[in-house]
Amino acid sequence: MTVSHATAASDGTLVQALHAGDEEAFAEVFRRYYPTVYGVLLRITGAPDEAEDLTQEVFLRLYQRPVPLGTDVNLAGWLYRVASNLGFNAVRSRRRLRDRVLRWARLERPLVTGAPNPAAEAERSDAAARVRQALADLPERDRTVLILRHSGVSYAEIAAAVGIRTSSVGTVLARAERALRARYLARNPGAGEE
Amino acid sequence: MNTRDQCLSDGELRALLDAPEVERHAGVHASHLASCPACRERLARLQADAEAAESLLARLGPVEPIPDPALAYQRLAVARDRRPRASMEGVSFMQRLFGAPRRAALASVAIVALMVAVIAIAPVGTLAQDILNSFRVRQFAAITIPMDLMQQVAPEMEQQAKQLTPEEKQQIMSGLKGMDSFSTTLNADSVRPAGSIDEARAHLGGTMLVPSELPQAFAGSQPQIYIGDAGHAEYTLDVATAQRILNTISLKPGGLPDPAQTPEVTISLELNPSAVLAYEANGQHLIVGQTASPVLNIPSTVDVEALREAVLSIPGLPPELVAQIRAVQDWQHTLIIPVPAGAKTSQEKVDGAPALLIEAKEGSAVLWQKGGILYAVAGQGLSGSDVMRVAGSMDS
Repeated sequence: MTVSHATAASDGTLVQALHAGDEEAFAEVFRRYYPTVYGVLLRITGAPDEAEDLTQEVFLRLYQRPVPLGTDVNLAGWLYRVASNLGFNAVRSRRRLRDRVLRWARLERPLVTGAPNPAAEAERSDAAARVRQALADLPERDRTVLILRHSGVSYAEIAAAVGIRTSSVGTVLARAERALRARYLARNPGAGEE
Repeated sequence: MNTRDQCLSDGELRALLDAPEVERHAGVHASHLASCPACRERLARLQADAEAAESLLARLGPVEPIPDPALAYQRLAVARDRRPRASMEGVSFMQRLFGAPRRAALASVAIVALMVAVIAIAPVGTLAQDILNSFRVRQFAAITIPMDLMQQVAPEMEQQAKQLTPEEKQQIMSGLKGMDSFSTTLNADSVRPAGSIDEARAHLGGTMLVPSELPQAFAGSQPQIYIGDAGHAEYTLDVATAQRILNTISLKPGGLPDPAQTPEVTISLELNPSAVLAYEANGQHLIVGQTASPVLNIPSTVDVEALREAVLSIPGLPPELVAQIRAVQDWQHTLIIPVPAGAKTSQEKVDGAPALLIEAKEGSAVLWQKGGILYAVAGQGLSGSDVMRVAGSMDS
């Protein structure tokens, strides 16, 4: 498991630069956080193209509305909060047709291409779906903490993303991991976790 | 470090699993653990839960390569340029326009946005006795937006910006911070799928028109149904600050009230419930939408006629665009639809009501209003006659 990419100080500097309209700062934030934000959204949505679109939306929102300046700036926490809100909203409403229409209108193509092995893909998809069902039984905050932590996000960034104290992250995480394990076994009696 | 007598919480133990080097060997928690079998047992259980969760969540992780961030950034840049910085809750969008390197381009975007707000959406009445003037859309008109509008407007704005002294720029920057605010009740869940046409009909208040005839390509296809909530959006402007900034950049603050008597102006937009039927066939889409007209409330202290004139006299606006806007009949009740150059538009009738038909190479759309309800039919790859036939077949 990896940890956060950025220190609070460099986040603060980047946010100040964003407020000044610094294009290079925006590009730097994108380079730094794109992989983790994409990973969080892929875990939430399970769909690479949807995760890619939502990741773009996260950064567009940052561009349109930079994180407010202040002494407690947490850029990463802001990005992960927006990402998880967007991801869960997308999963809830599943506006797939609308998204396809929008994509058609933008005449854009997903960046992820390739020809996966259909059988392996089906098996992986089925396994992921079972985990996702178990996750859906958990409160949204617990789900978010789990996914962020297992995407490599630090405790401080998780705390900023879901609005709890850093010292409470371990408590929520422990409860969520226990609940996920229990819900998965309840939904899939006899199934192993490995 | 002192040894702690009290047992550790699950949260403290769980955090130890993620920071073993820091916590286990140097912290008081580690000292306690060494002497407490109960905590060690709970730690083992938490570790098993964490490993099980990690194993499960690994199934959700990327199996394909993460998209190349450089390519993704290129794509983002395209999307970003298509989407002008807009007003968002709690932030002054005007504040940002003059702070970015692409000041002129952004300012021109703002000017166009302001034109749409004031001219296209803001019909005018002079019910001076009313606190608010409320306006509804009665008809549609099209104006052609030149493909190079930004390039036409930007040089003028650039010129304006060059003439500002550093002190004036500083004044603008500090003024923009508190000049305006935007808020809305709408959010990402305001539009969502509905289970049936009956549900959408009930959402609209009992009346909903559905096409009985579809183009051949869509024959037999069932629509996806979406409903949109009623909502409210509000834009508040600090009049004195706005006037000061407009004066600084040599724009006429026409139409704004006397700030001594009216320090703030709030314009609000009320959206009514809406419904959309989205048909899909062979990768093509046909959209049928309807909603009661949105209502725009403008304080009677704003002389929108004068404001409209001030906006239309902004230097750099293409004369042909201004002429098109001025030519719109009954503009007080007309929603202007910007269409790209190359699209063909015509005035038609649907169910006896005036309708605007737009035909472009990508597809066609028709919009009309009847009984206070706005309707739209749009289809990718469809001809004008296709969408007119769909519109003509709509029935409750």
